[in-house]
Amino acid sequence: MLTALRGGEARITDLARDEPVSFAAVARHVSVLENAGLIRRDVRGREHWLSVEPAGLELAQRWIDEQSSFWAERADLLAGRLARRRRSQ
Amino acid sequence: MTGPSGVAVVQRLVPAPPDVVYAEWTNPEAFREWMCPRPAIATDVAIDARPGGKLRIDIEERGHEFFVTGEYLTVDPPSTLSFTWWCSTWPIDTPTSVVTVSFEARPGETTLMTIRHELLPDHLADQHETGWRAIAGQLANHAV
Repeated sequence: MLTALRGGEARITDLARDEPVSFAAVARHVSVLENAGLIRRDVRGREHWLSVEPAGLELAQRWIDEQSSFWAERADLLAGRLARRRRSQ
Repeated sequence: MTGPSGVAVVQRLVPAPPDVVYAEWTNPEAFREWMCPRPAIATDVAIDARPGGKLRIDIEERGHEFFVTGEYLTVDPPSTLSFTWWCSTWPIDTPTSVVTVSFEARPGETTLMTIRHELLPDHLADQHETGWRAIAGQLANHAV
């Protein structure tokens, strides 16, 4: 959904058309992303226009990068532990 | 490695069969060995690996204490384990996240282990808010 919004503003209807889920599911997901500070909602007349919140997205990307290096280090430690165990058998 | 959809994915070929690798994630003694590299020490590890069961790791690193807490979602030995994951050092408004680990047998008694860590998985989106609010509530209780 964030990828879809990178192209610019969109309405929930537009997003729901591109995803294999219901309008209600997309609307729920939008409100979660909005609460998380990842997207912004502009109400113009009767239409709600959504766009990416750049600062929020940057934070989310930093979080993903941190988790990637966290799990890479743990996976190496786990693999090393099992390699030592195999050698000692 | 960061996937195009904003998911942290780490993959390793591990020199043991899936049941042995899986047990490294559910046995507290094994888990604390590789989860907390020195100088961090896991002062306490509680693992209740069944759906709805809780996970908690208390960690001390250079005099700082923090913890990771979560809840098991999928417990399917020896192929899949998934759980929510929230660390007390994250900003309080960080939504909880989901870690899914899968174990696939490979030749020579090895396992392809895939760790996926997602911040906002679509299928859990509607439970999400209540999830992290509950954790924030637990935190508040601890602070009392």
